[in-house]
Amino acid sequence: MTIPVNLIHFYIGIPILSYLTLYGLVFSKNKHNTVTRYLSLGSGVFLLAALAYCIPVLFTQDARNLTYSTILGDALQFISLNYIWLLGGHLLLSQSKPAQKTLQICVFIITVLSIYVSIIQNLAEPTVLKVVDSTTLIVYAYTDL
Amino acid sequence: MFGALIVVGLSFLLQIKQATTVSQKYRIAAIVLAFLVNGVLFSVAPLIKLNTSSLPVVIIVSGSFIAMTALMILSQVTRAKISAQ
Repeated sequence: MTIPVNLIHFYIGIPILSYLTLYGLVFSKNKHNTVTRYLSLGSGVFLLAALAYCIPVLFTQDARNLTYSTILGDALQFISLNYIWLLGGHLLLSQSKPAQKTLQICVFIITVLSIYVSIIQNLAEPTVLKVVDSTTLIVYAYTDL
Repeated sequence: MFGALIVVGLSFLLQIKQATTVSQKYRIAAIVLAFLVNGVLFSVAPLIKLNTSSLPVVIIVSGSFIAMTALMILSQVTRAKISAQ
């Protein structure tokens, strides 16, 4: 079993993301509040992204499997950021419904584009594990629009 | 895409004064800290050609998650104290 050093932050983030998700979706008194809902959905989907990045690397070193898990993690991460943009729109543009709707459409298009670019980049540059000075690192393509 | 974290982080930062209890302030501070640190880091990284899988970035992100966890624990502790009173 190998844990790449540059994935440690995801392992550290998993407990707090689980707490935020469970608290917001299950235990909170304000679970029907829009802010709580978007925040917990965003952290819940990001938790799934963190799991997609972290779990496969424990069981395989195969570049193809790691590339697919990175693509899945990237897609979930962009969906999570989509929820955070929706929350931002709700907080800043609550006075103007058309502006909020426009932002939602723009963010949806950027999310789909980001996922597409991530797939292209990751397939062109497959995810691999590399050992440098007896430290294991994961090397993957970084995507952001 | 990561600009969303800055937008929401700043919105929450402006709401800290409106929080009525210390517990709420800790909770909002936890979210503001994590969102602003990660939002700024990942928005600026491509502009300054910073490798996001490099160790300095991993250390900063890990630190933000640890600080967020600590503030959330403080929020729960203060809420439990208020409930006990």
